Amino acid sequence: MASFKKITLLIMIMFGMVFFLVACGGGEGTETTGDNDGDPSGDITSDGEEEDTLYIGLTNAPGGFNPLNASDTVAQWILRMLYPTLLEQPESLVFDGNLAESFETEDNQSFTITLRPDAEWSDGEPITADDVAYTLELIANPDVETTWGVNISSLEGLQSTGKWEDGAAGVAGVEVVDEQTLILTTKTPVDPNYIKEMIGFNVYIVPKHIAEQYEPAELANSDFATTPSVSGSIYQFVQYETDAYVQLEANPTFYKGEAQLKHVYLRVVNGTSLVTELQSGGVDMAAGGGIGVVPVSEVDTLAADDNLDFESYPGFATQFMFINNEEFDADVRLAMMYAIDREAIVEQLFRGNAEVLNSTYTSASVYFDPNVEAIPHDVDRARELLEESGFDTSQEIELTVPTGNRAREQSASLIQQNLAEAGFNVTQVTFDFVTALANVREGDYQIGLIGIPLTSDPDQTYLWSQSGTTNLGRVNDERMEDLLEQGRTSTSMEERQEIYSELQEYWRDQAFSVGLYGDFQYKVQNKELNGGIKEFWGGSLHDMHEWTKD
Amino acid sequence: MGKYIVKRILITIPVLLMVTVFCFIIVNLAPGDPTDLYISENATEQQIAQMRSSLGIDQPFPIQYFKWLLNLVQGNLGFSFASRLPVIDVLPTKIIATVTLMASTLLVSYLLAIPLGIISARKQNGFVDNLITGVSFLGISIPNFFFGLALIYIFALQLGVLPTGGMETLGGSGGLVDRMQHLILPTIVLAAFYCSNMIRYVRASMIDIFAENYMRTATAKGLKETLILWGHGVRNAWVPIITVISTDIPKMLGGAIVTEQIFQWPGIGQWMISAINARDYPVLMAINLVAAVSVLVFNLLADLLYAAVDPRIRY
Repeated sequence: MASFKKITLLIMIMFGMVFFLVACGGGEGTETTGDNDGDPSGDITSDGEEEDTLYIGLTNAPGGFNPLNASDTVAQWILRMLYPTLLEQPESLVFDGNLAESFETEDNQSFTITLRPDAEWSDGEPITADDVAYTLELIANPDVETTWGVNISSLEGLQSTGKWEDGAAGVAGVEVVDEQTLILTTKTPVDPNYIKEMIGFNVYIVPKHIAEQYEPAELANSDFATTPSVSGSIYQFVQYETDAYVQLEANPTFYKGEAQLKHVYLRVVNGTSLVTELQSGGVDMAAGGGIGVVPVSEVDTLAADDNLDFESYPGFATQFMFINNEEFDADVRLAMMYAIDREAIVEQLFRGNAEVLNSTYTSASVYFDPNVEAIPHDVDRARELLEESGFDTSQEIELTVPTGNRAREQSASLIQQNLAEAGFNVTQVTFDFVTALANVREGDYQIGLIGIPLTSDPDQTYLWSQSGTTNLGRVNDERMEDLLEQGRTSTSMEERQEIYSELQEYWRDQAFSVGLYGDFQYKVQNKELNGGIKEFWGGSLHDMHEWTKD
Repeated sequence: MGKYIVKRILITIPVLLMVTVFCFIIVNLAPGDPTDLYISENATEQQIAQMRSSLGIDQPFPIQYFKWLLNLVQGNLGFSFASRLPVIDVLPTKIIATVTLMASTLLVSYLLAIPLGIISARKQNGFVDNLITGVSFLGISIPNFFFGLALIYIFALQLGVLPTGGMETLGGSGGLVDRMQHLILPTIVLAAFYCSNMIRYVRASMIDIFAENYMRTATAKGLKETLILWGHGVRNAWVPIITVISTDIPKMLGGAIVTEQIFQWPGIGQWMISAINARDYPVLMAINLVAAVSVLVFNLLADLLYAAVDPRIRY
C-alpha cells in the first residue's frame, strides 16, 4: 500500500506544479516591457475580447524595434505606429504632411520643412526640428548601426554610404532654422519624390532627449532598440513577448488625435493558424504586405467567409528566376524567358491572384510601363534561340530552390518541366532559404528562385548594377549602368518615367533575369473593423488613429 | 549516495562542455550568413561589416566560442541576433511555457496510461485489452499536426468552446480558467502520443510480472488482489516505467515543436524553429544547453529513483 500512497503524493505534486506553472506563466512580468502601464481597461465582451482592442495577425516576428536599424518589414511596420515620419504616403508616390506641415522646394536641391507646432512626444516633450536633425546625424554617424544610410546619402556632406567623411561631425546638408523649421540640401538636384520617400516617408524621427542618453555605437544593442519608452506616433510600446505578440496602447499625446482603438495586439502566428484565427475572430485582420500572409490555398475559403472582407491587389512583392549572367549569355537567358509558361504558373498556383512579371516593376508601381510587351511563352522560339547561341544543351543546369514558400517550390517543378521542353537539362537543388540566399549572393549558382520586395521609388541600382549589393544575377552591362544612372539623377517624374520605360524594355530584351510573378497582396479582415489595409500597403497606417470596431 | 551524486555531477561538467563545443561547431557550420537576414537589399559593404562586428561574428570560431563560454560562466548567454534582446531575459518565459505544457501532458498521460496499462495486462487478449491496445496504436500513429488541426476545427471553429491557440486571451481578463482553456487542446494532442506509448510499456512490463513466481506465491498465500497488484506487481514495474519517463521528459522539450507551432504556444520549440530559420546562434546555443542539461539531470534523477523504488539497487 506504500506504493499507492507514494503515487497519490506524486500525482498531487504534479497537479500542484501544473497549477503553479499555469498561474505564473504567460502573464505580465515575464516579458520585455516598456515604461508604459499596460493594464487593459474598457468594456469586455462576452468572449473576453475588448471592443476597443485591435488584434492583427503577423506571420513573421519583428526583429527588434530600433527606429534607426530596422531591415525587416515587420519591424518597419510596427515602428510606423511608434515613431513619427515627416510625411505620409496614402498612395504610391502621393505624399501628405504628417509631422511636417510642409515639405517644399523651388530648385529640387534645397528642401524647406516646416513641422507641426503642436507635436509632442508621449512624455510631453515637444517634437522639434532638433529631433529631426539629430535623427539624420545619428544615421550619418559612422558609429551608428543603421539601415537608413542609403536613404540620406543624397544629402550634402555625406558619402554614398550615407555616412559623413572622416573628421566631420555633422551633416552639412541639414540646417536647423528654428524649432519648427529646417532645410535639407542635396549634393545635386534630385526628384522631390525621391527625397520625400527616402527621407520624408521612410526615416523615423527619434526623440533626441532619449537617444542622446546612449553612446551612438551602443544604440543598436541597447534597450532603446528593444523596448521603446517614448513614442511620438499613434501608439506606445507596452511589451513584446518574443515570437508571440507585441502589445501597444494609444498614445494620448498623438498630434492627429488619440487613436479610437485603444489597445493593439500584433500576434505572431503561422500562415495556417492565421486562417483559423481570422475565421474564429482571434485576429481582426491580417497584416498583409508580405508580413501577414495567408496561404494561397486558403484564399477561396476566406473569400467565402461571411464574416470577413476579402480583396486582393497588385503589390510590390515579386519572384524572379535569377540567372547567373556570368555563365549564360543574352540569347540563352532569353531562351529561358520564352520557355517558361508564366501565365500557367499564375493560373495554376495562384488561381489568378498574381500577375506575370513582364518587367522589373509590378503594375502597382507608377513607373510600370504597360506598353512594354511581355515575352510570350513560345517553346519554338526558345529552341531557335538556343540553337543560334550554340549552347551545349547536354550541360546540366542546377535550379536553386529555397524552401519555405510553397507556391515558389511548386513553381520550380513547372519551370523545370518548361525548360526541359525547350531542350535545357535542368535539375532542382533545394536548400533552406538562408543557405539558398547565401549561395546565390556569392554567385555559387546557375539559376535560382528568389523573391524581392520592390520599393515605390523606381531606382533599382542595388539589383542590376555591378556595384549593387543585391546584384544576384551578377549583371555587368554598360547600357544598364547608364540607364540606372540617368534614372537616379533625373529630377522630374515625367523624365524618370521615360527613362524607366526604356530600362524596362532593355531589361526584358537582355533577360538579365526572368520575372516570374508578382503575388497579389490580400486584404483579409473582420467586417466589424472600419479601416485596415489599403491598396497601397505601405501607406495603410496613415489613418490608423481613426480605425474603429463596430 | 551523496558521494555518488557529487561524482555524477562532476562527470556531467566535461560532458556539457563537449556538447557545447559540438553544438557550436554544428551551428556555425550551417551554411548561410546571419547578416543576409538582418540587412536590407540596398545595404552597403560597410553596413554589412558593421553588423558582423556588432553581432560578434567577424572573429574566428575558436575566439567566438571562448567568448561565449566566458560569458556563460558569468551567467550571460549573449543577445539574440534577431531581436537584440538578451537571451537570458527571454529564456525563462520560454522554459515556463514549455514546462507548463510538458507537466500537464505528463500528468494526463501517466494518470491514464498506468491504470490502462495494468488493466490491459490483467485482461490480456480480451476485448478490453484489444480495445486499449487498438486505441493506443491509433494515438501513436496519428500525426500530431493533423490531430491538432482537427481539434482546432472541431472545438474552436465549429463548436467555439475552446481557443484556437496562444497561452492566454490577449487583452482579456486572463486568469487561471482562461489559461487552462488554452492548455486543453495542445495537451490532448501531446498526451495522445505519450499516453499511448506509456500504455504499451506498462502493459508489457506488467504481463511479464504477472507471470513471475512471486506473484503466484502471493496469490497462493491468499493475499488480497489489490495488495498483490500494488504491493508486488506495480512496485516491480517501476524500474522500466522510470526509464521511459526519464527519457520522455527531455524528449518533450524537442518533441513539442510541431504542437507548439500549431497552437502558437510560445515555448522553446517554436523559439527554436524561428532561431534556426534566422541563424540566431546565441538562441540556438542556449536551447541546446537547456536540452543537454535536462537530459543529464533527468538521467541522474532516474538513477536516484531506481534506488528509491528498488532496494536491490544501491550506489
